[in-house]
Amino acid sequence: MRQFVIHRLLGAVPVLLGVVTLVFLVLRVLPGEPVAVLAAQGGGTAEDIARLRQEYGLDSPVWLQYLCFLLSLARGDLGRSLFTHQSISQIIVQQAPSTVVLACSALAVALGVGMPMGILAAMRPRSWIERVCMGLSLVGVSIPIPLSGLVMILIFSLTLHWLPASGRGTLSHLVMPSTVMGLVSAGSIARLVRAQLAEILREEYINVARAKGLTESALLVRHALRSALVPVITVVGLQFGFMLGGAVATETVFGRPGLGRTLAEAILYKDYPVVQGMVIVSAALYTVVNLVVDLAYGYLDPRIHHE
Amino acid sequence: MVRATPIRRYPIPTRRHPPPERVPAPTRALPWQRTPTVIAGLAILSLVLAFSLVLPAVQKCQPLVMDVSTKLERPSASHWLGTDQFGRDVLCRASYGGRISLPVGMIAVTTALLPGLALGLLAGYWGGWVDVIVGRLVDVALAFPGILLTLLIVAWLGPGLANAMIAIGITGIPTYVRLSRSSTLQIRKAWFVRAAYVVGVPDLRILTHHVLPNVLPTVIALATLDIAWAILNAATLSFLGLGAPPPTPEWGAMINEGRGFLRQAPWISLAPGALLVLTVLGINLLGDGLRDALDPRTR
Repeated sequence: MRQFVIHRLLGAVPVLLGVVTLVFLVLRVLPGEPVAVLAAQGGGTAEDIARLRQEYGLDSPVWLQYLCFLLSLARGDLGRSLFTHQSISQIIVQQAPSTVVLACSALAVALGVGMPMGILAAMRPRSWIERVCMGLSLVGVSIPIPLSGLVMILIFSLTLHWLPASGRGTLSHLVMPSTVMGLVSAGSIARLVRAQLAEILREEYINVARAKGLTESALLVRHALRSALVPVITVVGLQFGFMLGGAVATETVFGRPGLGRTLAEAILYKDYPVVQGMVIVSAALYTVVNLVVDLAYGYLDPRIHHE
Repeated sequence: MVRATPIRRYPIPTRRHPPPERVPAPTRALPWQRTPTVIAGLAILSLVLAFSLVLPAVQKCQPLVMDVSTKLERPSASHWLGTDQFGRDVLCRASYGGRISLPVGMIAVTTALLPGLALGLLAGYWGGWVDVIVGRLVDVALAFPGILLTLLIVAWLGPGLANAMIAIGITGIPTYVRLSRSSTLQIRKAWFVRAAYVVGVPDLRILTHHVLPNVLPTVIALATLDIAWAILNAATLSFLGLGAPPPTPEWGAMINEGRGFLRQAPWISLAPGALLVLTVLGINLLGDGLRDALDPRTR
């Protein structure tokens, strides 16, 4: 087990280095040079551009820039925004709580809706319950976040006046964004749970348990669900990644401050150090989550031995 | 199940050639013809297609011409789905949207599929350092969660519909590499591939004539589903202002344009939204059915 952990940790290093290099390269060959944009804002001249290039170290050779970039990354310094001059790690620390709260509650919605739907559908194969559950989950994955967000605002804010349309702070601000984001994942979770559970319910040991006289609920909870849930954990890891991305659309629809909205704005304004920092941090986070998921496998499923 | 490729197709000298295999004539209905979801998906899609192809032609409407005198009108006999803030007919614009979103989805998926399939076949067939390099690249690409790689590429290329398409396509490549690589690994071990190798069929020909036909069904099933994914992502990018620019009647862009008028004129956003959902739902139904029919494991 310990060897597996070390192996996986070491395996994540080249991947992360690759991510960092890719992000660096992609944003360094930007067509519209951000410094020119920045200088143009202040009615800048060629000298201004040259001064700014020097200030941001853009006049040194690319390999030197890359080395400096790696070194400052190692110190936890992600650079500064071109426009607000705020340090990027500070921006991330400021915006992260809102997005993390959103992602966690969305994940709760996704599991709370998706798991029962998948279980119901698997328990009653070929019934109308299954058809309804699977139909709903298909609709769930087919609705884009901007649309479901606007429909919810239209119903619950503009018509019924139950919930605030935008902003953050109280629980009522959280209801709509997390539902919108959660329902998309609920669809894929329901489909996966159903497929897994249906397969396991056909296994021999379930028949044995049933022959022993176990009630259906005990059968489900103690025998079937336990093994059906292992792959679901992977998807939860993947969904977490989806939510980091989904937050971009959700936070924009609901005018909710957070990492996603900051990123979307940074792309629009070509604030490339911000884009760079946020993408790197998200990818690192995502890699860690998937690592944790991999490790959790071993604890949940005794058949898996990490060797 | 691995289908034996009919080897008799090749004009290879016959002395070393194994006897032609029997190829059963496909008389029974194809699996997908018996799947209700495929039929439902096809029905929905043909409805959307008919809507976006026929309606603009019959109605002779112009999706970009503004007329302030008719702005924000409720749905009526002359404007079935009302008008937007510039007096443009919403039904007309929404029906044009299909002419944009469907090709966008297909082009983006093709952008993902072709390089992905090629890399996957090479990595799976040759293994060795090709496999290692491709595998590392795929790992890096998959380390970007969700839509973030797409956003990064859009940040690089700049906003716009064509760039959004490319960005979505590139984001999709790693999935195809993985899928086609794993199928290739399986099929490479099959007897008919070994036999082809032993009789001296060149590697490239083995890949294109023996491996590829067997990898293709699963890849096509995934590609069908991915068109829905690409359309959704393109609409989301346009909604964020990173895809199609405003006057374009793209569904995501239209949803965004109607945002400010949700109270007075919700139809501006809802009409294109409904069409978008119908399209994606249709493709998902079709793709699900195709996957069930084509996936060797579920047959």
